[in-house]
Amino acid sequence: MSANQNNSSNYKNQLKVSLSQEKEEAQETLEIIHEMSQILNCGLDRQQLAVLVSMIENGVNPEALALVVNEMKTELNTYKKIHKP
Amino acid sequence: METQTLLHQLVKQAFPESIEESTLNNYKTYFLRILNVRTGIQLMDESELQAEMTKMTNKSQAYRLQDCLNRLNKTRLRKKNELIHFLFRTSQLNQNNSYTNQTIDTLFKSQEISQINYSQTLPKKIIEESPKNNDQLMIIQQISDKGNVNLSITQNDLIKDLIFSIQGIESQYICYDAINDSFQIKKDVVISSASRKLINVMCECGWLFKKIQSFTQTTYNSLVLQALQNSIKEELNEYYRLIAYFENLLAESTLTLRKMYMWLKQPMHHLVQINLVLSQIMTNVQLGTTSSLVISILCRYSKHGCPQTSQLFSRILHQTTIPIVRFINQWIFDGSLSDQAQEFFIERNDSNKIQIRDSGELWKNEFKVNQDKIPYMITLNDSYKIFDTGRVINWLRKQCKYTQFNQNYELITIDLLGTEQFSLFVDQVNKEYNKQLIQLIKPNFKITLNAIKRFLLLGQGEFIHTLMELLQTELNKPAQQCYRHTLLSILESAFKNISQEVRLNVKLLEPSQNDTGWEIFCLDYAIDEPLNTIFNQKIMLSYYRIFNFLWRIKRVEFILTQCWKMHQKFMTIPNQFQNIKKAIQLSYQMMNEMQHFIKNFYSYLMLEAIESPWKKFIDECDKIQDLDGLIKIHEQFISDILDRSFLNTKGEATQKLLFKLFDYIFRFKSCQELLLSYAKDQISQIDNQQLQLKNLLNKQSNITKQTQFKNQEIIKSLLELRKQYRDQMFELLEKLKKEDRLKFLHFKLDFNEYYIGIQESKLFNYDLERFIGMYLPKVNEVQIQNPRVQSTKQLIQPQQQQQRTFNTNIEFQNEVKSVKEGLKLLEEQRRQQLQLKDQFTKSPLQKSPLIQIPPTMTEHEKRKNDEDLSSSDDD
Repeated sequence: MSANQNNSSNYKNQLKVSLSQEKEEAQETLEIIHEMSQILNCGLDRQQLAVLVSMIENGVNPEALALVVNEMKTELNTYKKIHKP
Repeated sequence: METQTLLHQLVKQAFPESIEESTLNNYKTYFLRILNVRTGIQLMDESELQAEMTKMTNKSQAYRLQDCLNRLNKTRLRKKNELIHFLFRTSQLNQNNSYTNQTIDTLFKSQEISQINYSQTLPKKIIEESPKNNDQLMIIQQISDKGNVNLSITQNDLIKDLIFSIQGIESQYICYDAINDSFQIKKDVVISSASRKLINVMCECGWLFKKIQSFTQTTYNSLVLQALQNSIKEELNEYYRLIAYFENLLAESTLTLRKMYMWLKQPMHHLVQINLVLSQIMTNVQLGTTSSLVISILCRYSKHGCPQTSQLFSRILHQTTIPIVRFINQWIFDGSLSDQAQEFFIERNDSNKIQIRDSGELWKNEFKVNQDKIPYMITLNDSYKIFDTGRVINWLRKQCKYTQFNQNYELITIDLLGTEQFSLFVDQVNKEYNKQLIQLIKPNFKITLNAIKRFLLLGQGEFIHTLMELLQTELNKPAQQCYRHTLLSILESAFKNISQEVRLNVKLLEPSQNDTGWEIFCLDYAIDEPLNTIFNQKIMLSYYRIFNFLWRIKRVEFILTQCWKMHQKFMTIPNQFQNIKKAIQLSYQMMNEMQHFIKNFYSYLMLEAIESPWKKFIDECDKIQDLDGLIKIHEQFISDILDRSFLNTKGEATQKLLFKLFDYIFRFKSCQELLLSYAKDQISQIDNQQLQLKNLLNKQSNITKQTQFKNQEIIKSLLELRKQYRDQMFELLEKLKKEDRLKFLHFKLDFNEYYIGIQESKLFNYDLERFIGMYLPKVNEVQIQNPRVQSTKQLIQPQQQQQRTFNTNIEFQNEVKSVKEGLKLLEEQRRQQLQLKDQFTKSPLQKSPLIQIPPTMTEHEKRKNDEDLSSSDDD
């Protein structure tokens, strides 16, 4: 019994470790992507990037997504101009 | 679906919060529709990416991108290619769409960028319309901006870039060249060389700024450096204001390069100066003496010739010296030191922390001044005064538990720091605190000093005398058998004679072999804080030495009084015993001699050796103003005493002589005791004999012989002793003669030149023997010396040939005369003899009937002749 328990706790520990490792890796990946976007001058910040990356990972068409992003920016501009004062 | 939620999130983040729900939803549906469009576009591959990248002109960015791609390959992304494609598309779209300058400002940030349309179509048209040759165009292109048809960069663009670069930030056209370590405008940007030069010069500002900023952003332990950082930041605020002004002007489109240049001149100058100072400081940071260095440098720069520079640096200096002033204030008024980075010139001396048993150490060694760290504006004297003040406060607080300090003084301010008033102020504070200290200590000190004088320096005579009487039986035992508690109890009983309680203690020194209790006994006075500082271990040791010495002399005096008491008993002996009486008289003379010596010596010690330094010390005590001075004069006082009482290394030989003399006195006492016991024996015997007169006639004669013999022994030993004693005295007197200030002692000990006379007569005797031995060889059978030179006062038989003494000069001269007469007589006799011999040898025929001397004298006859001669020469 104790051996089993040990195993389970070990497993949990490993799980925890792997979770934290995953977090770190995710962070790192985001960093790299952010840097790339900066170099390419995409005009996106980390939060947006995170969402977008997760969308792409989920299978969204990247071309379409790029167009969406573009549209969003223009819409935002016009919106701001209208609602500025 | 997850995508929908994500999209929702995205949209919500992008649009400001004031948006309505409906519009948001509208947007969302619209975006979703786009997303669902099936595009047949091929995804970008990595090879395509590479091709794309080579098109990029910025090589460094290309490298970075490649690096990122490499790193991306290591990650766990599933759809890398899609991601890359997405990023590229976005960037392309971004480039196409935006009208704003592509800088780090992003659209989604809340900062609002001035959305100015920079497309200047007007100048282009003018240029297009004017007909110019190609060559001329080229030249014009080189010289000015306006000739450039392909001008895509306007002046405002450049200015915008420049504004960033003077803050040390890279921008589109101006970038940081790592090789030359400067900001430079890109070589491919086509502008005139004049503008290029201007821009490059102004970029220098940016470089300086960057450097200064890097300084202000590093963290330092040292407070002074932190203060410096703060002050520089404040100076840079001015700079920021200028930049804001530039941006305003830019918004109004009235800013040109030249204007910027003129505006930047003054700040650039300042930046250069600051940078210079910082570089000087930075090279020396490792040396560890930064704070004083910083302040010294700033101080010197604040006296710069250029008024703006000097003002700048005096402002910076003002800020930077705040920590130092705070330290000084804390130290002077509170005595505390809280210096983490060790910048202050007063440091705690850690090495002695463990050894603060003796508080003299505490006073001297707890803190010290580190001369390297004294700032430029504070002189060495002032720094020592500051140090002293703090030390005093610290000492008062720790030792005397004194915490009320007058805070009548204002704290030191920075303006005060470099001026003369500062030293006056420090002086004043120092004096005030020292005065308080002296006031505190003085009464205690005086009491202790008086007590020490009374007991350790034998000031209280009758107490010492009673103590000695009570202790003598105990102290006569050998050293190992003397126990402290017995001595202590006796001491306490001695106290009953004095009215007050004194904190005296008995201290037993280390006994060596053959020591009696007398050698190891010592009185001890208990001293506690704060006077521990003044009466520390070393000084108490010297006090013990003096006490020991005085105690010895007192003991000798005590012994001599005991001898005197014995003499009183001698008075009771009846006059029959003439020989005993002679011995008694001899011993009485000797006792007087010794008493004379001891009394005079002791009075010399008490008066000259102790009292006069004491008076000097007390006089100086009233003038004293600080603790250091007090310690010094006290030490001087003790060294004076030691000097005059032959206790230091110089007087070691004299001390040895003195101890020998004391030794003889002790032996004399034992001799006297012997004499007394013998006399008593005699008396008792003769008393017995008187009862049995008839039977003991014979025995009486025997006994008298025996007694005579013993008497002679005693007298012999007494005389031996006397001779040795007198030898030593003479040596001592010789020594005393050599020093000026001991002349008085010398005079007292030998006021009638008694000892000198003895010595001289001794020398005469010695020479006389030699003389007679040399010049009258044949007459040495005639022992002229004995009858001639014997003194009239001689008591003993001529057993001791060496004991020839003359008591006075006059006698001596008389004796000389008589000797000379005797010699003359001898000469005459000899001549007569020779004449007779000659007469006899000359004419053997002339046998006159008158002369009837036989031809040769037999031995027996010769001797008889001698006897006759000698008997005829008797006095």
